[in-house]
Amino acid sequence: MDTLRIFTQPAMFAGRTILFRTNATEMVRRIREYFPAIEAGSSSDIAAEISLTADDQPNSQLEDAPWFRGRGYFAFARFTRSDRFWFNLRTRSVLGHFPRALADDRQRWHKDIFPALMGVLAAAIDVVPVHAACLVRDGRGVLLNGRSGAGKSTLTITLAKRGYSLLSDEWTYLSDNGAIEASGLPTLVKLLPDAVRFFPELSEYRQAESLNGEIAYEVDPERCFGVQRAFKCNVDCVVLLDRAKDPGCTITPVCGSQAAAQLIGELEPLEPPLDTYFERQTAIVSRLKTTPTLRLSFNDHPTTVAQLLDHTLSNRGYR
Amino acid sequence: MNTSNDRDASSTDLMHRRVRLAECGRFSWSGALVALSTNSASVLRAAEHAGFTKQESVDDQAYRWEITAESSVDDAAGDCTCQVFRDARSIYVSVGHTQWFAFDRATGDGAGFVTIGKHPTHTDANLTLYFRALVDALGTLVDSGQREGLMT
Repeated sequence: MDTLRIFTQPAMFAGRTILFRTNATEMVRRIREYFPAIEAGSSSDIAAEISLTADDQPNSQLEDAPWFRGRGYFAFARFTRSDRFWFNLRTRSVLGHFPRALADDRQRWHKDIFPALMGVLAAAIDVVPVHAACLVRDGRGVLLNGRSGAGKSTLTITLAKRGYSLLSDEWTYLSDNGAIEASGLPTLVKLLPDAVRFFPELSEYRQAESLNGEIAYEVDPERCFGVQRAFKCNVDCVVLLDRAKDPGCTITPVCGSQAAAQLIGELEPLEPPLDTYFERQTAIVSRLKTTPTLRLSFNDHPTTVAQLLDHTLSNRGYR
Repeated sequence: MNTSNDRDASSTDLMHRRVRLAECGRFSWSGALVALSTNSASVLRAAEHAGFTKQESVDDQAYRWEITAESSVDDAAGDCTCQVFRDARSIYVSVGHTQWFAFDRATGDGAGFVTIGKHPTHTDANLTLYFRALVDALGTLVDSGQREGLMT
């Protein structure tokens, strides 16, 4: 690691170019292995700049202590007791300082830090994080939206095991690049402890406390389930998930405005001066009004639900 | 704003952005005008003690600073090491693990969080430390440059 030399590394996030600057060669590697490379023909405009400085801190403490605060254009994030990440969302810049030992912690960057940095930055670069899974089949994207506990991640993995490519199991990033585009990050998939009933592969993994305090399995889906990943697609269909009281599974076509309204209702409202960002986010999601939408109400084994949904998507030409 | 990695679908204000800042004061400081909003009168008093001079006039050109005071369960603020981080556009002041202030060099606007405890003595001592850190980090900049100097 070289404290004098500064490396610059561009990377793609949701169709935007993010320019990283760092003094740590390890961080260049982390960035390259996590973010998609710049695509040929993509805009050379820099959407945001992130400076990451690894420094010599005596007695650095790397135990977990995630803490987030924000006000006005500014935000602050901390993941251990020895790191600090500052955001100026007006200038779309991030400044991070952390001990050298943290630069070596690949899992922490992949699991917590990179996703959180992108989540905080998103609004400032016209990207909308939505609480939805996303799968891709034959180049067509299916967005699955449902409240926590609806069985979204379990259904998503079941569909991925049927041949869909997994873009995201929990957070999907929408942007308007002519069409509404969905992007994902190579995050771990989080499954609650009872998912082991459907996925015996999980028994080989340990449950752990996730960033929001939930006890869950957090696994690499490619390694654990052998599924394929995708990182970008257009949104061709939205599926709204409802947990039914009675056993069974029904799928009903509904107006796309229901999908838009539900997703907008779940967006984090942003106060002034960030309200203009929020208006732009709302406008992006509103464009899903014209997207074919299904309501899936289910209380059945995930394999049965996935089979029915797959057939419906196929029959309707949504995948 | 919540982080996408750590929020439920419901709006949780994980970042404590929506705390109402009903206490307002206007100050002159090192030749600049600062409109300070906070949720604690102690913060406004601490600003005066730190050398901010109260102003009655209304000036739209004032820097807008917002400081949220958060209660601490214990009075010991713990680590209160002051550190200053800078990039071309911003100055960031860190006071221990949970207190900070961020300053936009171009607009002069700023925001931060500070801890207040149960006992006024401890709270006042901590606020004094917090404002001293701000004055040390920003004073020279504001003093030497006024508004024009901030437009770097």
